[in-house]
Amino acid sequence: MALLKTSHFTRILLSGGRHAGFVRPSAFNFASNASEPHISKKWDLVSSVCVERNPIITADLTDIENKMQIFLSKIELEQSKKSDHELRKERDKITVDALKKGNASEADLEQATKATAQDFEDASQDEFAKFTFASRKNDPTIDEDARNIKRHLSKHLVLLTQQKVGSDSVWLLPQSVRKEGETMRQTADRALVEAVGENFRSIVLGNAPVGFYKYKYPKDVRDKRGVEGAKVFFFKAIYQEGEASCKDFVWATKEELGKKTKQDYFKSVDQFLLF
Amino acid sequence: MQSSVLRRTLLGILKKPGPTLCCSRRNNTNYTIGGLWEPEYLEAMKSKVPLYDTLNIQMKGYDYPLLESYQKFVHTIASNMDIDVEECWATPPQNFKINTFKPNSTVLDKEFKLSLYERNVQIVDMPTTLYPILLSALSASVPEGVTVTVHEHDPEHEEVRYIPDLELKDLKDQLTLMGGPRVEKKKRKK
Repeated sequence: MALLKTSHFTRILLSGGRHAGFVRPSAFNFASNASEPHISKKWDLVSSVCVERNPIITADLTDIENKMQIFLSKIELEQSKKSDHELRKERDKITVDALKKGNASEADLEQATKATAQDFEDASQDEFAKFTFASRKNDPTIDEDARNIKRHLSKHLVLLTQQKVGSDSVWLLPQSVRKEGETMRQTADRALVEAVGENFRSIVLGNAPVGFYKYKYPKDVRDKRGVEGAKVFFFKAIYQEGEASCKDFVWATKEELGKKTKQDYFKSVDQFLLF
Repeated sequence: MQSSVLRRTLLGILKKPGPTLCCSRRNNTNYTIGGLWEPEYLEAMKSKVPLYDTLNIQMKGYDYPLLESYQKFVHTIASNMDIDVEECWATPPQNFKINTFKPNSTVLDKEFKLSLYERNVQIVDMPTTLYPILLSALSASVPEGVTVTVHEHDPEHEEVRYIPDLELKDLKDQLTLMGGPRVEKKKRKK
């Protein structure tokens, strides 16, 4: 194999843009110790969906937040003007006192027979006492049951499934490999349907992925299939309604997500989580 | 070489009307965008990502101070994401009167008066790639009792904001009853 003739090489490169397309392949004869030609490596493209259940109730206030809220409401009460109901109550009180003393006119007597503001207030208070609010605190069993959608009402939850990757089963967000002719978004929709079934309804936000994770296959898989590894693109979805018909799934909080998944996988997911 | 390029350029201009694609050695491009005589920065200024024209974020709720503070929050999020917030407005509340009756009778038991307040935030020229991020931020932060809908702007949404002039409407109705407006002959200009 003849060695590279450097003078010939540089002459071709320096002649300008016009000649750039006309490089004759026979002009180059690569030496064995020169740089290898670039071979593009094959990667599997994977779409993954992060289904989020938004919090159902507001988070509990901390101690200092509670005290501040009470304090601010007191200030607001002091600075506020009287409402219609309070004015009516005062007027009623005046007429009642006038009646007792005997200075009342006929108009006042008429008014006194109607329902006073105080009566209205008492009736409203009774009504309020009878009403039962839904409990803010869950039964501890519901919180511990990882498959229950109603656990941890004030937290964001993410759907995790146990999938078989290679030889071992791993906890990760529902994912599947892209088939020929599919867009990444179509792959994401398919991944969700495959993982949790038809009854599960969620809205996948947008056609563009929100996150990325890359991992290499073990050496024997690489050599067998000729694929370097997988590139995972994450899509975000918001849970609407429905049951997940899957064997191994979990509605995980952020801490649980960190514990169940691999550290660098969690790092990629954490990048786009808003909580 | 140069004269052949010039000849091709002239032929190209003569053959096709309007902005033409022609060979140019400027910037090593094969064609000039918009025509030979338009500056290139006009194309460069346009967004590379498709944009949503106008979107309205409509917030409805029964608790008025909470709704107002949420509108302020939405405005803050949008302006921090460099989204053009065109306008924010409130529409008059829908007032509901709810009567409960005593069982098996038409005697009024209780009467409740509720008002459903509304606030709108209008967003203009939002990149489609940014929209899902805004949606996820909105859905994560919605407070209790507030429902949020995002829809494209219609002329009807603009119409709802105006208070109809009932006097004018009355007069117009009267006019149509009397037989329509008087048609005047056009005077010729001498």
